Amino acid sequence: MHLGFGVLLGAWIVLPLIPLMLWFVAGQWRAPDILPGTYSAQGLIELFSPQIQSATATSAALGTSVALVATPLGLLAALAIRRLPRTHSRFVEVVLLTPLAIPPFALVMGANVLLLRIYTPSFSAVVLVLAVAALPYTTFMFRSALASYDDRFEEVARTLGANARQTLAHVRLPLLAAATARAAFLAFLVGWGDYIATLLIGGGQLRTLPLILGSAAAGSGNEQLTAALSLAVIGPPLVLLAALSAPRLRERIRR
Amino acid sequence: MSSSLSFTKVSRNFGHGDVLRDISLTVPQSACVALLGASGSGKSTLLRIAAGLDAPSAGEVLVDGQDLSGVPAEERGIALVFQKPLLFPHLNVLDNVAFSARMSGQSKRASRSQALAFLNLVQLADFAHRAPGKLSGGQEQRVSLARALARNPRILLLDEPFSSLDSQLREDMYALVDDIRSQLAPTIVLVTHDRREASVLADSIAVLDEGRILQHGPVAQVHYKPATLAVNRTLGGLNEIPGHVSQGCHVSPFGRIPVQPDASEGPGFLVLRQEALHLVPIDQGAVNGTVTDLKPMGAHTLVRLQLDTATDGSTGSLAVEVVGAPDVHVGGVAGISFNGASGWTAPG
Amino acid sequence: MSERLPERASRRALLMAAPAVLPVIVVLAGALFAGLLQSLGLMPFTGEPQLSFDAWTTGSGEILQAAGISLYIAAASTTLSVVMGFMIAAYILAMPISGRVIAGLSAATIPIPHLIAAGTFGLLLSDAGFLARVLGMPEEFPTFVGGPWWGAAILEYGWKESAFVALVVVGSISRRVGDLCDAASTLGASPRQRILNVVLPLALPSLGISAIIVFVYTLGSYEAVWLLGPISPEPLPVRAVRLFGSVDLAARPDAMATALASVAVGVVAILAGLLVLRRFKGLR
Repeated sequence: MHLGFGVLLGAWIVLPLIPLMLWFVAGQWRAPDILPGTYSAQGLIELFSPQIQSATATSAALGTSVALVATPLGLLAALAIRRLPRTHSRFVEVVLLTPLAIPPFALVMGANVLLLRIYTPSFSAVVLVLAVAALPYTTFMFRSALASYDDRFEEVARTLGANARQTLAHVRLPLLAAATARAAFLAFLVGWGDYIATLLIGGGQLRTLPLILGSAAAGSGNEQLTAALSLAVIGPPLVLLAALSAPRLRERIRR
Repeated sequence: MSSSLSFTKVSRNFGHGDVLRDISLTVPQSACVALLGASGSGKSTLLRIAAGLDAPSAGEVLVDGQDLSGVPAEERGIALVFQKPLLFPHLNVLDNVAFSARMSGQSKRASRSQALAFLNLVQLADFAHRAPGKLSGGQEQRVSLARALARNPRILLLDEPFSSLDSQLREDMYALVDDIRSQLAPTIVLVTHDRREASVLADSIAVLDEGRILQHGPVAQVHYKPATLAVNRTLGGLNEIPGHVSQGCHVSPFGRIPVQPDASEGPGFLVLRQEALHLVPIDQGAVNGTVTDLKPMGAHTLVRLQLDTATDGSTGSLAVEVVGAPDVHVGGVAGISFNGASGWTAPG
Repeated sequence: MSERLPERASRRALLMAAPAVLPVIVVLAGALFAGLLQSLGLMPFTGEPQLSFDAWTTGSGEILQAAGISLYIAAASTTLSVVMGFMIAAYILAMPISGRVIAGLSAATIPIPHLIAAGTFGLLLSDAGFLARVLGMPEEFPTFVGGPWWGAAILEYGWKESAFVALVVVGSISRRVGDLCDAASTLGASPRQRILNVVLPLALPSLGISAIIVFVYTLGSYEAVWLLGPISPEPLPVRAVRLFGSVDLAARPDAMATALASVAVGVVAILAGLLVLRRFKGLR
């Protein structure tokens, strides 16, 4: 296959992100010009405005809360699916996949009324709904990790004198560490990047990054702010992703 | 340090038939017993029961005469090496071997220095800081063995530990096991489907078939004095000559062969190892036979012969393992001699 | 006693699944039930509950139109993302070094939320956007953003989801495909033939599954069609969210009817997709 084809594919992937980068560093950028007329640090400064800082904190709290709820539940569910007889495990599997089949806005709109009726604080309500939306992903991550998991690792550990607690701490959890990181990352993303649940349930009380971005992108003349907010949303997960894959990368280099 | 192990009337039932039935077996201190049988004969289940990873449906496991039922695997002091090395991928080689010491609460430093001694024993001290994935299959299995030994087990269980290694590596591992036995004298139970491996490593062999022990005895005994035809076949015996026993002799086309004095009278099979027979010129052996097949087996050749019709009209076939390439061809006739040693019969 | 052990283990496993299964069931069933009640006027925001099928009957024309638009957007986006996703996957599998670069770039777009992607596609494709500027602001530059064909939204979905499709395909066949391609090349298959006759058939099941997932996702996704689509007519999510947020509380039943219609369309799409997939399996 031609390298030229690879360049085209690369362009397909990267091209949409270029205006984002340019607008982030642009000062003045009038219509027919292909490149910005002047450059400025305004986008960067924008990122450190109090409004965006507090929105970043809210988004991070939301992502972390969703990950903290959906990751352990996904692990438990995946372990249960492995142990249950087939008829039961099918039921659990199907139930945990259904959130994927329901459009998020429909789920949120229906749940909103219920959550209002039982006076759930909006932050917890958003976390609950998003955790339900994230469970298919976390469960799937642990399911695929457990599919190649050999129970005999734990048996060997026991014949080597490890009790149940030690086997859990020194064998099962380390062996599932990579899957746990991946599952938590996905669940974090669900909360971190959510727009619709925060909009409909939060009702404007929760000012997360995507919410500010949504109103900036919907208006006109906000290109610079849109670009800055977009990078504020994309940046942290990419750093997290790099941190997650760094040990593996180092391993590969050493090899 | 090592202990004796015995099973008394151990059965295991998985809901659809017995996997083990009334197994009674004693492994003396520092001995090595091989459980030999085909896959599905229940031999791995017996090891798992000894290790405490599975519970018997009935019967007891005793170590030094003490009943182990209810004692969890981690408190039994019985180490198990599986066919797969199962080295923990998140620990390096040294920390894998140090695992049991860490579990018993020793410091990192003490565990590691003790582990290094065991890595030395399996000649892999140079690999201490490697990740397990970067070892060859043979090296991984050596580490796995070192890890089990570092537990200072009262009993060492080996579940087909060498069956995925190539033949040269397997020979190296046999030498290593000999070395370990002379240095640490652990009590060993080895599960294998390879009769040569069982013979090379063990003091005695217990033959398992369909969840029962058919015979347990020293290596030579199970080869030359099999209790049943199934034992004979499991150990690779090819010759079973039908006939009957009377007055301490087996009577067949092969003639009257003296057999064990306590053989019961009546129909019985004469068991003759193919290695114990010889080809001789026509009419100089006990019987004559027509060569039907020659099968080279490396330094030996396996000759199959159809026995000439005997006086009573019965026929039979025999296999003879000959050193080198014999001076016969398919269709030729040769005499077969049985060098005088006393015969052995097994009931049908 | 050993007879009862499996039963006890199974009960313990059910208890382990419960903390995940119960919230899902409660939230899903509660949301759908509350939505249904609201669409029928039985759970009004204020005032007395009163059974009414108005949201379903008088709104049915608009709901059907919205469903048609949503199905069109989902079908176009799915086709685009499956085609591009397969090409990316094939390139990753065929090229050892440059393929890794493409794999890295493609995977890096996965964490980008659709809202951000929609924003950046706006910057790229609007009338005076980056692409128009690069092309010298031609007169005939199509109206991608806010145009009648939802071009920008479809391109955004296609772009985001092609990375997902590529990830699924590569993940499911990368182990087997190398050896099989080697075998095919020793049998005289050219690179093109290897892709069409080895990689594509192997990838079909994962392409099918990911197509269903992409279709259902784009059907129910709000951000891109809201930001990049025309004001009217509206696809299902935009109509539902607009009515839901309307100051006129009487619009609530209409919003809920639209939402439930989206759920129904999605479920039908999944069932149809699975049926087609099963057919395919039977044919082979």
